[in-house]
Amino acid sequence: MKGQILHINREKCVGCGTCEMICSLVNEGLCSPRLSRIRVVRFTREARNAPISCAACENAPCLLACVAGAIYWDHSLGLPRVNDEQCIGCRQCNVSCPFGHMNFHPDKENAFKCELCAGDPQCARFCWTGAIEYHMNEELETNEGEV
Amino acid sequence: MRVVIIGNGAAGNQAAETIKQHSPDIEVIMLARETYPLYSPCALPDCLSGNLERSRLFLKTENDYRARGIETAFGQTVERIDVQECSITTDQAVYHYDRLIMATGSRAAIPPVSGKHLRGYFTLKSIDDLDALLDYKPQRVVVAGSGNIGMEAAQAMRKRGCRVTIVEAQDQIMPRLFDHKPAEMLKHMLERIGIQVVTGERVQVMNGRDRIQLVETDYGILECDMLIWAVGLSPECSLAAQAGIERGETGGIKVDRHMLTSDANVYACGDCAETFDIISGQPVTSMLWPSARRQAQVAALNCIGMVTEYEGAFNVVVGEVEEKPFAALGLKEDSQRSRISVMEGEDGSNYWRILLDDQSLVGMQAIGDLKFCGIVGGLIRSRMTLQEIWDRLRDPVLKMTSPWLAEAAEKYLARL
Repeated sequence: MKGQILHINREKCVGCGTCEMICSLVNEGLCSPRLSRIRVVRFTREARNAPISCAACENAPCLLACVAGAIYWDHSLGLPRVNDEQCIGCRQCNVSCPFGHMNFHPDKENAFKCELCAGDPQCARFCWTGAIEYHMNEELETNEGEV
Repeated sequence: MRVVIIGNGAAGNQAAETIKQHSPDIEVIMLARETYPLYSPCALPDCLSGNLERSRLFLKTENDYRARGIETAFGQTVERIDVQECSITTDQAVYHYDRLIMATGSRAAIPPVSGKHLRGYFTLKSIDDLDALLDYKPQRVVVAGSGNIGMEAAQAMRKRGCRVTIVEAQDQIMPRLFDHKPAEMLKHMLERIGIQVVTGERVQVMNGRDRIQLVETDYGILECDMLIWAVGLSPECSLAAQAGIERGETGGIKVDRHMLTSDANVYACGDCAETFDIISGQPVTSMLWPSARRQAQVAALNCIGMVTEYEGAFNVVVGEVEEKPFAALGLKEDSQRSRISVMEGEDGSNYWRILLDDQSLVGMQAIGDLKFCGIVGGLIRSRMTLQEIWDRLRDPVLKMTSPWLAEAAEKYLARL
């Protein structure tokens, strides 16, 4: 758990969307990419794909923007999380995330984001190409977080 | 070392937390006039409309302060600050400080109109304001001002079944946030939910027998039994002024990039501090929650010797009408001297516009779909030029490393 991050290797992603399906299924109970935390950007012309998830920003803008005290830093997972009970659905965090990761649930009317499935991210578990892996930060090679 | 913080809002609490996070041994004392623990003034309209329980406004309990080792002295009014002696006199005690952080916030402005002896006029800035509003049961409400608070207050009262009229002095609603065209769209949305909108008029007189029965504007009379003032916030800096601390042109306490005031031991942050806009560099008092927290971090870090510079205030405001969200980021069309060009688009009932000066993105306004607003906001904040954005997108390797940029560019910048 501690020190582990979601490692995304875009070279290996085939854009199958399994991660989006499994994410929405385990977190929302239905297979709908729109309710997925992780999203895959597909570059059709280049035949390349790039999944985007939470960049776990240091001094996260979503956390600073939250006026309801709903977003807090989870020290063991190493990323910001949303407390559903406390979220008032103001969308301040949605427009603060420079990666467009902070999502808004149309029915529950609250913010949702990747919370690493409490330490066992299912996108990584079900990614059959090895594009998404969950392991220690030292092995980090991706440029995630760079604008 | 002892740090005293005046104010128990977003800025004051963030400053205290940041100091305790980095140096738990530093003594931190928070002074405040109100006795409540930290609450969110931004959520007050949600509570007014009945969408949110009052208890959920509170973001901390008294125990949270104690657990963090923060000493509190709430319910005390600061009477005087002596910057030579480094002391603060309240109505109950005298406190000495090594460093002082002013996070005194702002108060809702009420213009000098007649009829102030009447009951029935309110502001919406504090919990006490909210409680007073909730106690008063009106039928017809006039909201003076159409900024974010005015818009939310009007909708909340509408939701409570009142007949509501917004009176805005400028010729459009939300004049500080939106350009004319999106403002007109928002106005129509308000009208669709039954809120009357009057622009280009000011409330001049409040009239009635012991309680408000009507207000007079420049051109007419509006019957009402409640008036909510939402014409803006003024920085609360009379204490600083008394102490001889310099104020800036917007009326806020003048600070440098380290949030240091004209006195070497006094920092200021939040609504009371005058900083600068991240894009235009012009002096501003930001009055926004995220700005207050970031400024407080910077003030706190510098206070304990960890030198940090403030990036500048970035305007981000989000709201909702008719269950449709809207957002305004960065600058408006008329907020800079140089010519700003506008790119706009609509799909279905969604509207967006992006503002550019010749080199880079400076602002965005959107109604409906806000999906990529954050990405555009990030681009505005990073001060990346259009050329740099294109270079990045044309490079096959770089394009892959910032897919969010490609997404937003495809949606908004495709026709450039």
